[in-house]
Amino acid sequence: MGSIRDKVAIVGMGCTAFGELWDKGIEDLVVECCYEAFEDAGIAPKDIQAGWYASRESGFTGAHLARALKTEYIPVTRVENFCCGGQDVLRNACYGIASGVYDIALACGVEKTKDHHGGFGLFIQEPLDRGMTEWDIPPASQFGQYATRYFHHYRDYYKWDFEDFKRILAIIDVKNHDNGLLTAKAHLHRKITIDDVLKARIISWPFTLYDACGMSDGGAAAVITTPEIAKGLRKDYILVKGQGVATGSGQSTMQPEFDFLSFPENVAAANAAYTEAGITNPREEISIAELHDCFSSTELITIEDLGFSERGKAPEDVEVGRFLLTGKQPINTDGGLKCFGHPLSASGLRMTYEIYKQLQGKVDNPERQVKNPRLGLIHNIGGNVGIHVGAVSIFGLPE
Amino acid sequence: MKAGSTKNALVSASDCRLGPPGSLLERNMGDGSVAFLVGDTDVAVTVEGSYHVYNEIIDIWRNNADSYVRSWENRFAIEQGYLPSMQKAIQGLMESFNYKPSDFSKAVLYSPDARRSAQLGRRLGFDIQNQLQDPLIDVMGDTGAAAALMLLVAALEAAEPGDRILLASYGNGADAFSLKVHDNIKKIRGQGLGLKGHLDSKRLMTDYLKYLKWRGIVPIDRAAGPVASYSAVAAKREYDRNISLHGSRCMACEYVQYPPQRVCTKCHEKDQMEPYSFVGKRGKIFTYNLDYITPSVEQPVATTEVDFEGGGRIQSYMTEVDVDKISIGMPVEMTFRRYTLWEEIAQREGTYVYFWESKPIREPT
Repeated sequence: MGSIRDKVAIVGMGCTAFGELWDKGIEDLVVECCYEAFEDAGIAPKDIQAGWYASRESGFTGAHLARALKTEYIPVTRVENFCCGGQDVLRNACYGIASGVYDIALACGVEKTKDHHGGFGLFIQEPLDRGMTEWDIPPASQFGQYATRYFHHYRDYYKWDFEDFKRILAIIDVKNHDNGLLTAKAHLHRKITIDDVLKARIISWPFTLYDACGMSDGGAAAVITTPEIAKGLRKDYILVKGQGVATGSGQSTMQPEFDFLSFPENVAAANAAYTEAGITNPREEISIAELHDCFSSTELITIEDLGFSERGKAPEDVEVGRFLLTGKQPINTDGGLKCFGHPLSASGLRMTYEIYKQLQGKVDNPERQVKNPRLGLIHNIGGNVGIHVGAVSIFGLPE
Repeated sequence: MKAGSTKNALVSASDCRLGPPGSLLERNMGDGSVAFLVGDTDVAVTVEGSYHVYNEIIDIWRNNADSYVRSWENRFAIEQGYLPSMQKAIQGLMESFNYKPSDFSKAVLYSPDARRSAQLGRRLGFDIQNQLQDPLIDVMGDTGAAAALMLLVAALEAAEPGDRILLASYGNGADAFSLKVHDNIKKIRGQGLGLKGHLDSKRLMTDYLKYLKWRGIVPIDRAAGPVASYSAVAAKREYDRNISLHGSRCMACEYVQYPPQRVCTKCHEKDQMEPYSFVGKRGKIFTYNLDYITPSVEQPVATTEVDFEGGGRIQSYMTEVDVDKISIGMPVEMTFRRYTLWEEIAQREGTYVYFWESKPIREPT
C-alpha cells in the first residue's frame, strides 16, 4: 500500500464562526469559508480545478458548492460519512491531488443543523426503514453506553464510584469551555466549573448537560495542492502526513466479546494514519490534537484509543492536566465540538483549521497559541454503535 | 370441540377500554387479558353445563369511532341490566342442572364495581364470605370482556380437585357455567406467573399525566421528531427479524448473530446461515443508557446491549424500566411491544410499528 505522506499540501483555509446562525444559509456559509480559504492561499476561485463538498443534511450532490461559488463546470463530488464527513472530504480531495490528476483542489464542509428539527432531529430508522443506518439509537444514548461500561469496568481499579468518574468528565468539560472562551469563532463562550457540570441536569445518564457538544451551523474549507506548487504560494504551507478511516461492520452489537471500552474504528483509523506518518509513539510525537468530543466520555476513551494514554489511564492523565492548553499534549485548543460547536460535516475541516493555524503559529488569539507544535492530529467518530466510522489525520510543517 | 372438528383450541379474551378522563368509568376500568387452552384429554377443568340469556339494553357501549366508553345512568345499568340478567342466567343454570348454591365451592361472578357481585351473590343465596371470588376491582379494575375469565384464573389458582365452580359473565345478557376441577389442576398451576404472580409483581404508575400520554389522550412533546418513515415493503421482507425475532446461526463456526446476516460477522463465510430464534431466551444487560432528551411518553428512554444465553447480542430499547434497579448484569427477556418512539410516524402514516424490546424479568416479589 502507498501513503499520502508529504504528497499533499494545505495552502489556504477558511472557517466561519459556528453557532445558531439563523440568518445565514448554506450559500452564505460556503461563500464565507471558501473565500477566506482562497484569500489565505492567495489564489482566485477560478484556480480551483475540482471540488469536494461534505454535508449530511445540507445538500445532496456537489451542487450547493458549485452554485454558491459559481464554478464553471468543474467536477464537484459530495461526501457523506456522518460525523467524519468533514474529514473524509479532505481525504478524498487529497487523493485527487496525490493521483496527479489535479493541481489545486477545494474541500469544503457545511452544515445547517439548525434548519432541521432543532439541530439533529432523531434519526431512528429501525426497525422498518434502512435508509440511513442499519440500526439507530439516539446519539447521546449510543455514546453513553460506552461511558456506562467504562465506569463499570474501571471502578475497582480506581476504587471510584460513578460520581468520581463523572468528575473526570467534568475536568474535560471545563477544559474545553476554557479553551472555547479564548476562541472568537466558537459557538459557546461560557466559563464553567466542575461543580456546574456535576450539578447540571442529567440529559442522558451518565451525561449532564455540559457533557454534550453544541449543535451548530457552520462551514470550513481547505485549498490543497502539491508540495511543489505550495512552495510558490507560501512558506508555511502544511503537509498531510497521514490519513486513516475505518468503518465498523456491526461487530460491537453482534459480538458479545466486544467490551465497549474502546472504539475499534478509532484504533484502526489511528493505526493507518500513524503508519503513513511514521509515528510509533503518539503520546510523545503528537504535539496537539483535536479529538471528537461529541460527549466528554468520547474524548476520554479516544485518548486511549489513539495511544495518548495507556488503557485505563486516561482519567489519571486528565486529572494531572496533561491535555490542558498548558499541558504536555493539548487537546481541543479551540474548545472542541463542545464549545466550537458541531455542524457535522464541517467539524473535521474546522479541526484541520485549528491545527493548520497552530502549526503556522497564526492562531487568532495568542493566548491559546501552543509553542512550536511539530505534528497535529485530528479525529472524528460518527455513525452508530458497531457501525461507527473513525477518522484520523495528521498534519505537519515542511522540514 | 363437541362437533369433533378440532381436538384443542385456544380461547382468549382481552379488553382495553378508555373511560372519559376524570370519570367514574375511568376509575373503575382496567385493562387485562386472559387465555385458556381447551382440549378433550387430560383436562384440568371440565364444563358441566351452561345457561345463557339475552337482554337488549343500552347501558355501557362504544360506537365504532368513539375513543371513550359511553354509559347510561349507572343505576339503570345495574338494576335493568347487570342484576336481572346475571340472576336469570345463574338461576336458569341451577334449575336446569338441579344445583343449589351450596353445591359450589366458589362463585366467580363478573362485577362492574367493587360491591356489585356481592349484592348479586347475596340475592342468589351464596355465602359471600366463603363462596364469592373477590372481584379484584381494587387491584386490577373492571377488565370488561376479559374480567370473568381472569377471575376464573384467580379462583383456579386456589381451587382443589373436586371443587365445583360457578362462572358468570355479563354483557347484553349473561352466560353462566358450571365447572368441575380435576387433579390435573395441580400440574398446570405454577407454570407461569398467573394472575396472582402478575398482580404481585406489578409496578404502580403514580403519574396521571404519563398515563394520559400512554393512552394518546394528551400529545407528547415532539420538538425533535424522528425523520424516518415506515416502509411496508421492508416490514414484509424482514418479518423474521422484526416480528419473529430471528437472528441467524453460522453453520460453519456456530456463531449466533442478530439480525440475520448473509456473511458471518465472525468467520466471514458467506450464506452458511440457519435461522435462529431468540424468543424465550433470557439475557443479561452488558451495557445501557438512560436518555432524558429523546421525546417519548416514558422517560428516560433506556437503550440496552443484551447478551443472550446460548450466544448472540441484541441492541434494543428497554421497557418497564426501573431507573433505580437497572444495572450491568441485570437479567432481562425480550417482549413484543408497540414502538412508542414511532408514534408520530404511526399517526402520520396510519401504520403502527411493533417490535421487540428488552425488559426486566418479571417475578413475584
